[in-house]
Amino acid sequence: MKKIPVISSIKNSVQLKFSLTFLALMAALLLTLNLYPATASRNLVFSSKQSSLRSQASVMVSALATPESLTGETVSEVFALLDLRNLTRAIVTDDSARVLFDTSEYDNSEGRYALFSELARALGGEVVCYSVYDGKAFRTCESMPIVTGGRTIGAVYLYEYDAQTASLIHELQVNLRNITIVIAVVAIALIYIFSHSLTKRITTLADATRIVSEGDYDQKIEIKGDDELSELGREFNNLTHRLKETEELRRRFVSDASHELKTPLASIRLLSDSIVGEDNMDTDTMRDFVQDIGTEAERLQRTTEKLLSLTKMDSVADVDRDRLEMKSVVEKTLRLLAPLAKEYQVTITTELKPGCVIYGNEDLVYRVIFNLVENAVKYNYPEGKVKIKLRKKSDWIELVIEDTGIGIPDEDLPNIFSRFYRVDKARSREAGGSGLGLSIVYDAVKLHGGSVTVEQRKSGGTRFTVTFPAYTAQEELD
Amino acid sequence: MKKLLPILLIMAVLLAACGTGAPTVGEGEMLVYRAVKAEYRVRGELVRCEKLGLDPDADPVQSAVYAFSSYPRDEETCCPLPEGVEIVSAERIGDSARLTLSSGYRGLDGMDKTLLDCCLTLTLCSLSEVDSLSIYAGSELMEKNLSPESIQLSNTAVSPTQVGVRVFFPNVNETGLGYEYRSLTIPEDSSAERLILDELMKGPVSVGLIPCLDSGSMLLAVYTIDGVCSVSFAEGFLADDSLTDAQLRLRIYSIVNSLTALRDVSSVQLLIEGKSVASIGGVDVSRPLEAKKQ
Repeated sequence: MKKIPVISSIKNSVQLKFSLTFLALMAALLLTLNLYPATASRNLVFSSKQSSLRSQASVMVSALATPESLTGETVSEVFALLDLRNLTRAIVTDDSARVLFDTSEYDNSEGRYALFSELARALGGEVVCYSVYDGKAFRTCESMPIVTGGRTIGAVYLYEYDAQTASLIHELQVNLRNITIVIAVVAIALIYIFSHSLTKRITTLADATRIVSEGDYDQKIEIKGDDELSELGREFNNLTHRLKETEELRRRFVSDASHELKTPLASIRLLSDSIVGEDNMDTDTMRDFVQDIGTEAERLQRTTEKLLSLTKMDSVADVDRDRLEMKSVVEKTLRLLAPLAKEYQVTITTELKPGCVIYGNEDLVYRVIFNLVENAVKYNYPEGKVKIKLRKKSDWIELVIEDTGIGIPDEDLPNIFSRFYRVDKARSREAGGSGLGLSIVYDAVKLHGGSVTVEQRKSGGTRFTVTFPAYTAQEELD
Repeated sequence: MKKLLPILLIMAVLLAACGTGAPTVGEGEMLVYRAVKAEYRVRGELVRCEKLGLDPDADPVQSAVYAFSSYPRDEETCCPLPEGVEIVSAERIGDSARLTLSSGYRGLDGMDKTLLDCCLTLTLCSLSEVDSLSIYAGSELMEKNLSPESIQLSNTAVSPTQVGVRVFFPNVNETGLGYEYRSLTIPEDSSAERLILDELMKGPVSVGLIPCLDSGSMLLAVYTIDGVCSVSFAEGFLADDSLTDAQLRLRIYSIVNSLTALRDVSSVQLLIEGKSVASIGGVDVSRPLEAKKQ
């Protein structure tokens, strides 16, 4: 059978489930509230009545258990001394169930046989006691044998009809029922309001999520209160904000990447077209053009390699790591950069403390140092200086690379780790920069759980401070 | 003398006990009473009855004895005849049945004997021909004139204000009295005596009984002092000339027996317009009358 969408929607709604759950809980509580006190009170009364009648019956039996045979007169004499006001009826029989004494005013059975089960059981030696509640009264019966010299000579039958206590119990039940009705009505109203309010907020959140999933990252939720749903709303707003930023970054990245790839490709196309289109091009010019094509191709290769490197770092949660002596890695890297420094007439000085060990990926750490030192050299003045310091600070290894170069304007500092961000595009290209080096530095350091900061030096130039968590044996075990 | 009336009482009482409705007994029918087995004696009833048809060609007393001795249909009951006790013979003498049981009956006592006596009495008295029962063991008379009136089947005092009372009426043959149990709720502004007289005026509900007071009887006052219940009727009380003395006597004792069933009433003084009269139907009503056994 085809489901009706509205019914299916109601059936699956959180509000209905909430409401039903709360209602079930409420019903269970109210049922307990209704049944338990009344049942407990009834049981208490049963117990009290049985105890009371048993005591009375015991007194009567003791008084009647004499060696002389039971007669109506002897029983009347004994009963005249007893307080029988609470009893609706008291009967004493001989051993053949013939009634010797009966307090009934309206249907006196003296001299007749009383064929009551209770009396028959009592004459059989059993003590019978029960109390029942019929909604109007407690009817309690006690029947006890009169035994003398090991012989049952008769039985006592006591019956009590108590409407007064029953009325109190009934009143209690009625009050509880009224309270229950009031609580139930209030609870249903509250459950409806509460569940409606709760699910309305969830629905709002779901609607907003749907809108965001359709690409509208400007969607925000109005936050009220300070509960979990408000927290969820706040997180949702943060998420959409981050999504929006990420989306903007992605767009910019695609745009920048396209531009970065397009520029050398356009140069190559232009140069190759020139070669093809110029019939009488001399050999030296052609060689220059081909060399330029090669340079542009190298730039393309570098850019794509760096992009691949970044993408790789983006896609992995962790990398292979080893115990790295940073001093050794720095020195190895500097050896490779020595020709560049010589070319740019920049002096590199180091202050490397031994024992600075981290748990990291050598290739990535090398790339961090290489990129930072390369930038420090390339964007420096002739006769400029680059100073590299390595030291351990508490649980961290700190690598400081500072230069006396051209520096970075303050307004560019927040963006320099963004992909394809260049401070001076022309100079950067001239220096063979791709705008990805510092992004690689940033991502690699983050991947190691460290941090990288940049600042202007007061005396000119830039200072990069990289920190890595210091190596602990536990890290390797993990 | 025929008296099916007490049976009606028992029916009324057993109505609740049997839980199957009032066992009304009609012509050619009888009720067989049996004891509830010990394991089923929880509360209330101790005997239960089964309605059986009578063979029109057989002697009703013999049929009743045969039915009594047979195996009960109700598995929770049993025949109260103990092992070693048999019904040797049964005969009807006038309105009374005479049963002769084997000598083992002499050894019976206590509840076993009471149950047997009562079940036999109730069973045989359910026959329209039998009013009472005598039991012999051999030639020795053991029990004499047992009747349903001498048996109470359940506690009729349900509550202090809701009580069961016996209201006596002449039987249809006007040979004796029968009674019905009436469940009365006694209001604070009334008395049991007045309610009983009201019930007497309403008449019986059983088919075997007839009214004792005609519609012209008007109750003026009823009060009880020192065990004497004075009942004052208006002129015209039992003034129907067509009634014989015997019929008048039955009507008077319907009132007397009904009122003296109350614990606080030992005798009844009948008055007309507040004054005592010499006699009604040959009964000296100038003095308080005590209940008369059947």
